[in-house]
Amino acid sequence: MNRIFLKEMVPPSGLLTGLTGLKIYSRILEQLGAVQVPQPILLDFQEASATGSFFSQVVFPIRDYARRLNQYLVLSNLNPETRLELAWLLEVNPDTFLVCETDSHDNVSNIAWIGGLDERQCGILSAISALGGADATTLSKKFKEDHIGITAWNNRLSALSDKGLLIENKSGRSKIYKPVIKEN
Amino acid sequence: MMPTNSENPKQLTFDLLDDAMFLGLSEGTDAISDAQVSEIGPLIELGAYLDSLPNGLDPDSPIVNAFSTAKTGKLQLGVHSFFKSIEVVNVPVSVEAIEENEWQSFLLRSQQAAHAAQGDTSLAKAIASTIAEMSENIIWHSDKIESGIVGYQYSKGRFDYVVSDTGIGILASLSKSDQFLSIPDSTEALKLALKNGVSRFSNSRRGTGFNSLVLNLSKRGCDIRFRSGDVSLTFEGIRSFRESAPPDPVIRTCPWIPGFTISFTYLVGQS
Repeated sequence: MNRIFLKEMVPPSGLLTGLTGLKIYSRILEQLGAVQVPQPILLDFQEASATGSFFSQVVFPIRDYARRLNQYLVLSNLNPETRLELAWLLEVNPDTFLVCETDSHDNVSNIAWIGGLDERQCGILSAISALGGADATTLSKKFKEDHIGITAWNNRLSALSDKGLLIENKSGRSKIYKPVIKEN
Repeated sequence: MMPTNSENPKQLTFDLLDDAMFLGLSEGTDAISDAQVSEIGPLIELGAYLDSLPNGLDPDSPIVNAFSTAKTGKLQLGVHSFFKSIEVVNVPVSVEAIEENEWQSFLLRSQQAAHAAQGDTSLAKAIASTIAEMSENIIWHSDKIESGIVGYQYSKGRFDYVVSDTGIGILASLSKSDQFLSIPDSTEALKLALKNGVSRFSNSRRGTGFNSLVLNLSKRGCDIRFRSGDVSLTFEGIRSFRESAPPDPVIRTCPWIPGFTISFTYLVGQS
């Protein structure tokens, strides 16, 4: 799994602010490259505390850039203060990030999302997670009591993928959506 | 000159400072020139006031000496002083200076001091983060970066910090954006700036720097005073602590001072 360790870039105070982020930004970009198969990229906050400005000026743009390279950004090992900063920022700027804990052996745990998702979106993510992956047709059959057409399901899945919360894999003419990251 | 009780010497507080400034240059100078300094907040705010005066106060007056000495980090505190230690430095003037050891070490020391004052590592980190964030705001918004100073003061059970500049102030800063041209005064500008997501920059993700300060720290039982132009806006979290909610801001009309000053006080046992 690709991981970018911020501790290798953090200044001595351990504080990542908007201005310190300006220099780090280019170093992070250097570690991102286009990939054929969509995959997660972990931004590891171990030994770092980040302010709201760091997220708004560095992490959001990195997330958007990575998405264009077929990579899905996941934030790992955020300390409680940093997590709070992110949560407040996402209240003001409605958006969502995947977060998790990782150890030195790439073991992943405590996957969650921070930010606003409605009940329906949460339900879709839970269903995809339980199924390990699904396309719109599968979901329309699974939730047939909702009377939602395949096109509407496709739109919902695509929106979650745009947010970086589901990996989109093209399979012939259909698209399979999978969890970005799994616990192991 | 206002009378002084020798057993309870007059202290330089925000109230005394506001009163003195309202009195004007002559009487106001008399009112504060013999006050003892035990709080860094009013002292640094006084510095902003001095900056607005054509000739300043008498350079030999104790209060001016106290301010000058505070900036060198060697403030001699009165016998009634509450505080243990003080450090005041200039805010970095560039992105490069933010990364230099001098500034990074200051941030580390401020975090260590906040921890020594109240013992909670998480809160100490949160406080240090806001010091860094508020200081960087001077670079973005003040138009007078070189005037920026930041200081902290601590003792067992109490931590104070101040971030101050004598630049254009909050009203002029916000008014640089077309969408905020109609803001009538500093009061409205301050209220607006403290709202989530408001900044003169068009990027919608900017302007949330006060979130942590107001949402996190004020509801933990802190006083936070924002001072710009002719107004102060204070979250009196120490006096009116409420579980999990920032206190309502108290707005006061004050004598005009340049720039923008934030004064923060945390007292253990208030939350």
